[in-house]
Amino acid sequence: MTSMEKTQKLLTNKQVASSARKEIKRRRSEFEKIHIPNDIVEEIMVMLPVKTLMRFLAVSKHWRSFIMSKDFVERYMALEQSKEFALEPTSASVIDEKALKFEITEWNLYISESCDGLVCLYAVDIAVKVVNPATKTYIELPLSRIQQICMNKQVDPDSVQDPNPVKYPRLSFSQFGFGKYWRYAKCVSCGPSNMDR
Amino acid sequence: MSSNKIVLTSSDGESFEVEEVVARKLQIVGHMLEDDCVINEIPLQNVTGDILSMVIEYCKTHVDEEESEEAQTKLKTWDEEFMKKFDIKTLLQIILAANYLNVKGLLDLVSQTIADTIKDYTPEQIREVFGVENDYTEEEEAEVRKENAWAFDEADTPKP
Repeated sequence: MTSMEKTQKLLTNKQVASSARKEIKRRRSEFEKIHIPNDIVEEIMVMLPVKTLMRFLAVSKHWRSFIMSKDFVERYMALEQSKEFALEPTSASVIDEKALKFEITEWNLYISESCDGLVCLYAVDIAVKVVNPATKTYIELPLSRIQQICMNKQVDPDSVQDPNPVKYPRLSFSQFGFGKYWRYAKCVSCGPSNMDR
Repeated sequence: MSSNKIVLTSSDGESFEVEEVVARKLQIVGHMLEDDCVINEIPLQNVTGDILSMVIEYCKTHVDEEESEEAQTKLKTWDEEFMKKFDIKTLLQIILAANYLNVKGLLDLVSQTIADTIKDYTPEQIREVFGVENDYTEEEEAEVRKENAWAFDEADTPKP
């Protein structure tokens, strides 16, 4: 290739790059002319999978507060609940490195029935966790009184080694649900402790 | 059945003569007609001719919505093929028009099509398509992405 050809090629590349930039600019300005009102954005968003919504939290602060808003969450949930689906027991085990990991408990770990798509993980010696499997997030509830008592006792090695430890009065879950306000989960165990948060 | 003709005029002056039953599929027109002035020509300010023609095409096809399963399946297939013609930019214009003209069926159809189209988009693509300004600082955005890292692992990057 002669040097002249080279120069020409460089030039063409430059021109191509510059026209591509212009093209992008033009397209962007065309898009900017389309203003999509919030209510239409909402119509689209309720149809998106949770994973997509979690990704779109990064779009802007406005989108984040919109996706996290109580109104949107309630509408999304109502729509999801209207679809029929069921969890079925399966023999397959899924080992996913992205799975939520919890500390090992020496006591039985209970998993509650789901309520509005959330489940509760519960053992005597760890804080109750309300897990949202769809968003892979969870919150921990404060230790209940019975758990605190129990954990204090557990410090006593006798209690741990006892092959038949005295079970605290029926600590397994009976119900997990929500009060009037969705953010406030209520866990009720049959034992002497009720926990509200 | 009335076979009155009504002329719909777009914002850029294009006119479409359609049967009244078709025009009534646009609820905005339906309301105008109920206000019982005799109108033959209706100006539609917020929609251009090329988009209006697509809305009319949809309404013509959906004018007799038969209950039979066969007819429903046929319509559904038609809807799918119809939607395939448009890129995301056009889809957004159609959804605006369907909202303004108040065509419920089309609004639902386009919402679903847009949702299917954008579900693998990256936040950058969304900003471009929806003209959203990113008001995060770099650190804030990195934090949000980190918190939801699992949601990014399969985000393809097809260009809109």
